[in-house]
Amino acid sequence: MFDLEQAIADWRSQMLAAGIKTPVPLEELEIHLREEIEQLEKSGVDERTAFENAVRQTGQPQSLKNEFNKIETSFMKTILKCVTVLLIGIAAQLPGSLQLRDQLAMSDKWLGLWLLGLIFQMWSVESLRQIVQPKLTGRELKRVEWSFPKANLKTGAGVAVLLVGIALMVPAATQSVRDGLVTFDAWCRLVFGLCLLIAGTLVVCFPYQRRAV
Amino acid sequence: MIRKELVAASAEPLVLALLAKEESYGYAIIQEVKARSDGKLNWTDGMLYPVLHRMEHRGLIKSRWGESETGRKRKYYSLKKDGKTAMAKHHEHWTLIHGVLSGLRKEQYV
Repeated sequence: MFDLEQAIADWRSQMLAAGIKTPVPLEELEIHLREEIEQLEKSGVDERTAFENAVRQTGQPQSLKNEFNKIETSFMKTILKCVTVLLIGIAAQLPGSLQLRDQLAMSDKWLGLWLLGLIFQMWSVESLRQIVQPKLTGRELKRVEWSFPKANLKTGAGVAVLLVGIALMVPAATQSVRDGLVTFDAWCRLVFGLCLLIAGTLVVCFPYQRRAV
Repeated sequence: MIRKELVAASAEPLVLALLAKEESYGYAIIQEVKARSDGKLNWTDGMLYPVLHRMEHRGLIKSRWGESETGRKRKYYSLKKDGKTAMAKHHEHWTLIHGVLSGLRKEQYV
């Protein structure tokens, strides 16, 4: 004798075993399954066949789990990855920053690590922005084509800012080659130059504007 | 048989368009899509729910628990403001694709 409730309980166990452990999707799927069984029975199909057809139509537990996992894990995993990279970036800057505080100068190797840390931080902040911003503001960035003369003005302005940035970084590079360290003054110029370099590059290469999601 | 890539790509705009009419729940959404496509657009039923959850996650739709006329628990979905904007975008893109295809097809018969 076919027991529908037992069959549904077994189906639930299979779903749980496959990894659909969060209550809401499983409850929704069960409600769906019951609606499908009810409709099939109304059309004259016997209970067992209705259950088997409904299970088939609902989908394989593993594929369903994979689809749900994409939503649940992608968001948290990305946030976790970004925060980890951000922390690594901050940690990489610590020795150089401490040396700068104590000696008002930063040695070559710590400056290299400091810059690497900055790259890590920039990557993680930009990645976090891409995930969080659309959720907070409901807007994301859209690629746009710039037409003449706007495109040329944009490129010209970007290159000018970029060149000023490079010029500001020259004293630090010279000191680094000559003395193997960078003084506080030169480091400040280096950081300001880096900011201008990034801003200029963004102006030249960033073909985006904000739009609603 | 419609290719599964196309079925997957059309899921979001279809759900948005259906929810723009009125709030609905998973089973009804699937049945309506089946009916409107004469059964040609046949989703694996369970796959709709990850799509709905993803859309809810992105702030396009919202959900609430309710009851059917027979007292069965149901999760009803409805469109949010961002969902309306997304639907307009989808409509624009699909209309464009349809227009290009139709134009090319007409040219073949000229």
